[in-house]
Amino acid sequence: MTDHDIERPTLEDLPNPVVKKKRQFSIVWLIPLVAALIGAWLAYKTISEKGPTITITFENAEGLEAGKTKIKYKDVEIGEVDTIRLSKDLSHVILTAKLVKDAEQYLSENTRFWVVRARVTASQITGIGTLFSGAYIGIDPGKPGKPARAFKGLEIPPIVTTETAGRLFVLRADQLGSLDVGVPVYYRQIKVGQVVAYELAKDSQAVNVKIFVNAPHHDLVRENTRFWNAGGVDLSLSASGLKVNTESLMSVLLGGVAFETPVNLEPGEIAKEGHLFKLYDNREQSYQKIYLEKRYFVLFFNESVRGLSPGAPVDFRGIKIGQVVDISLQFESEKTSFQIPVLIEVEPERIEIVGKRPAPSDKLLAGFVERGLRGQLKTGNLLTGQLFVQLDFYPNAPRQEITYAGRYPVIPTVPTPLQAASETLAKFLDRLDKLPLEQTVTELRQGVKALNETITVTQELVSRLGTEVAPQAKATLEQAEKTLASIERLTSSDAPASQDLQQALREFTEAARSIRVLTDYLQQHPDSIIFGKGNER
Amino acid sequence: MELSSLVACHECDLLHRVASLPHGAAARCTRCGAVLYREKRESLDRSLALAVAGLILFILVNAFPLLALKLGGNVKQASLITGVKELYAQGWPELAVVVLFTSVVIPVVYLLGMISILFPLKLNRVPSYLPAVFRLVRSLQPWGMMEVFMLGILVSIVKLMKMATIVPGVSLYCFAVLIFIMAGAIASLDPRVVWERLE
Amino acid sequence: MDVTASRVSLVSCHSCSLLSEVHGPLEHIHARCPRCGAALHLRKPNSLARTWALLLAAVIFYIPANVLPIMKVVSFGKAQSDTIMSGVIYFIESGSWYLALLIFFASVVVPVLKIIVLSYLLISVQRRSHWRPADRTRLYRITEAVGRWSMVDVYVVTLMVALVELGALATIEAGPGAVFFSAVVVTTMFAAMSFDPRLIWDAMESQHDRP
Repeated sequence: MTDHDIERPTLEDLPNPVVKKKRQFSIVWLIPLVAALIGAWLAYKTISEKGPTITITFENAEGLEAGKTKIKYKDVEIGEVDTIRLSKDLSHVILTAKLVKDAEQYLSENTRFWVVRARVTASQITGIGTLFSGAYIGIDPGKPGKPARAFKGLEIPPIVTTETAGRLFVLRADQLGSLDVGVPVYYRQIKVGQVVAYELAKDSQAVNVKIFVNAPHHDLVRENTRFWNAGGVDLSLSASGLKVNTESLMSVLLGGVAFETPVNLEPGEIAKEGHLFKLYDNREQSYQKIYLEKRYFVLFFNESVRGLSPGAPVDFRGIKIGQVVDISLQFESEKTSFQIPVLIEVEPERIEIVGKRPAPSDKLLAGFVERGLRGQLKTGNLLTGQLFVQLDFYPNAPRQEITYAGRYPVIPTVPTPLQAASETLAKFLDRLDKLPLEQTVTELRQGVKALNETITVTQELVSRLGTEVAPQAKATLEQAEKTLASIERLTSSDAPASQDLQQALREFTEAARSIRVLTDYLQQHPDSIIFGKGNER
Repeated sequence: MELSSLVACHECDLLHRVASLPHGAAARCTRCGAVLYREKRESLDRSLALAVAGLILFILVNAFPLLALKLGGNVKQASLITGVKELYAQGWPELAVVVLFTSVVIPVVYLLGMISILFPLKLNRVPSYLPAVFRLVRSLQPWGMMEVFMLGILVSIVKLMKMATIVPGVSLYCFAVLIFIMAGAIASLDPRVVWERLE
Repeated sequence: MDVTASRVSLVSCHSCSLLSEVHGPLEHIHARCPRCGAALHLRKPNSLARTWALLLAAVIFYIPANVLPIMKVVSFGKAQSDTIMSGVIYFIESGSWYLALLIFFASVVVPVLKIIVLSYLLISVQRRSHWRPADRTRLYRITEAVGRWSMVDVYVVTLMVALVELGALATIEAGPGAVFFSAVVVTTMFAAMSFDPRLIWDAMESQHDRP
């Protein structure tokens, strides 16, 4: 190795890529410091902007994708689905979703979620845009309530959401009929709302249909407003001809509900949210007063109920208060007799209360029965022989206490008028039957015998009379003759009295003769009364 | 002549004398022009600072999405790792591994390795693992291709810009800065300083 | 005469540049650098053979890398495959010719050039060429530095695959061409790393040595 063989390196100045100026070393540390600050700030921002994480359950995840499906409110994205997994029992899917921070304030237990997919129903077509953009989850914040983080998603989107102004009412109908979700509600043939849901009533006796009436029309619904099923075509044939009533073409096809506050009644209070109404089958029916409260009673009749049928009215002093519901024939095994229980339905609302309203109770009914409340069958129609049940107070009825047949109170009955008469006759005959006739005949025979004896005695008496009584009688008769002769002398023609008497008699006889001539003449010549005697003589 | 005062050119093997350089200067081979060594100021401090900054930025880059694509109501976000996951999911595990290594793993290993060496050195302690780790880090260094990835991002943005809306994410800016920081960390490191500490 | 380290029986550690004395042929000694513990080699072991092997592999990979599609765009059920070249053409047609140029350069020119340059360097060493050794070294330096930029296309595919996931509207899938292309880049990088440029100068010197 020789020193001179080793070369010196050539020097070149090359720019330093990192720092241009010569500085103290601490400057360089600014860089990581700045980086750390940026990092801390970003981390803080992320955490503070972190919105709530919620879980929603649905029946299936059709159209939903983890990390992709958005949650939108009024078409503004407010969250995203994070994960989708099956529940442990595989019955539904559980989504977790992250929402923006602002969403926290309106997440309450009333918040509802549903999946917006393309949906085609008879009344509307929605969500077509989702065919391209993918399904998303809609949210209705609902009324403020307790904050919640776990939700059960709706399978069907709600028809109305909380922000829609209006009011919800419930209609009670016997059958659902042509009603369905989305069916319109009309007022004077203008759509003012729609059916939002329906369900079987709790007692399974009716269907509860929930309708939503939009603002401002919701104030039209009063407490006495009548709702009827306006779907289809309402035909009525009457003396004035055929009448066709429809609300709209849509209601003919889809069905509809219409309402009206009857003009003849004073408009009542504005109905509150959730007020229950009865849904009538058609407009006419809605004007009949129908009562909701019904109380049932049983009446037992021992007579023929031919002519009584379910639906026959139940009257109280001529005013209908209910109807017959059921009639059946029972064999009472203990008494080995037959009885006919008749179930009647009384609508207490038909009776107007004056004064303090008494609490309807069994005691009240018992009191009525004690006071003589009885039921009676009466002929409603002489021609058809239809019967109806009349309730009334019969103070003279034998006192009875109220009893129960099963769960129904029994109102005692009194028999019908015809039956009353036949009963009386029967009673009479009965009494007659009870009379001691044999005894009477025997007594009668004895009486006749006594009479015979009396007659015999009388005959004897008469014969005795001729023999004993007769000479005395003759004497009396001679006396009488003498008296008579004296009277005759007095009244002979020579006596002055008798001469006057004769004179009077003669004039009288002449008068009578001329009257006789006159009448003869009149008989022959009737017109002489008017014209007088003429030249006839 | 002391061996430590000599240096051989890596590309042509010519021997040179080690001379002190002014700041920022480079010593080049007289024969082939290759850089023999550079004079780097405050090498330890700068390298460490930049490595730390790089590590922080790296964490940020991976914590947030790089880009988001919006088309027809659909939004898709992507981070560094999203692409790797997708490639793996589509059935290209080899490609996924290559991309993962060159864009994520190797830069991270480099930064962590550098910090693990420089930090003790700054505290004037020579860690026992220094030679092995430093060698590893130095050999891995050419395989870190983050700046190429950045170019790829730019090309992709241009390509997708025409058909959809591209929304740059927070970490895109962090990524851009990170590239410079990494380059700075690599450039400011004077290996002679490190190796000399071993003696 | 140039004094190289090998001439004076010194070995430069490739890791820490420390010069160590060496006695005897290195091929039989497993020497380690006293400072950093790296394996010491006079020259990169098996440089020529390894570089040739890797270059060959790169050439083999290069054909499917360009023939097979690197990306498939599926939109509304319709699929459209893209190779590297068709991607370039797409950029030209859509008006971003500068991007087309960039992609063309990075994904087509650079790998090819790398292969060509390394092959040339290998041949020149093996033929003990004297042609401008400094320039060849510079050529090598550039080749080694530029190689990694070919990975751009792979990263573009990665990002496309990651971002364009819009269901039926549009989805992008990576293709086999991308795998081969990344293999090309990796092997050429290894090839460049395994080539020892000092061999260029060694070839020059031995001639000088010859009396």
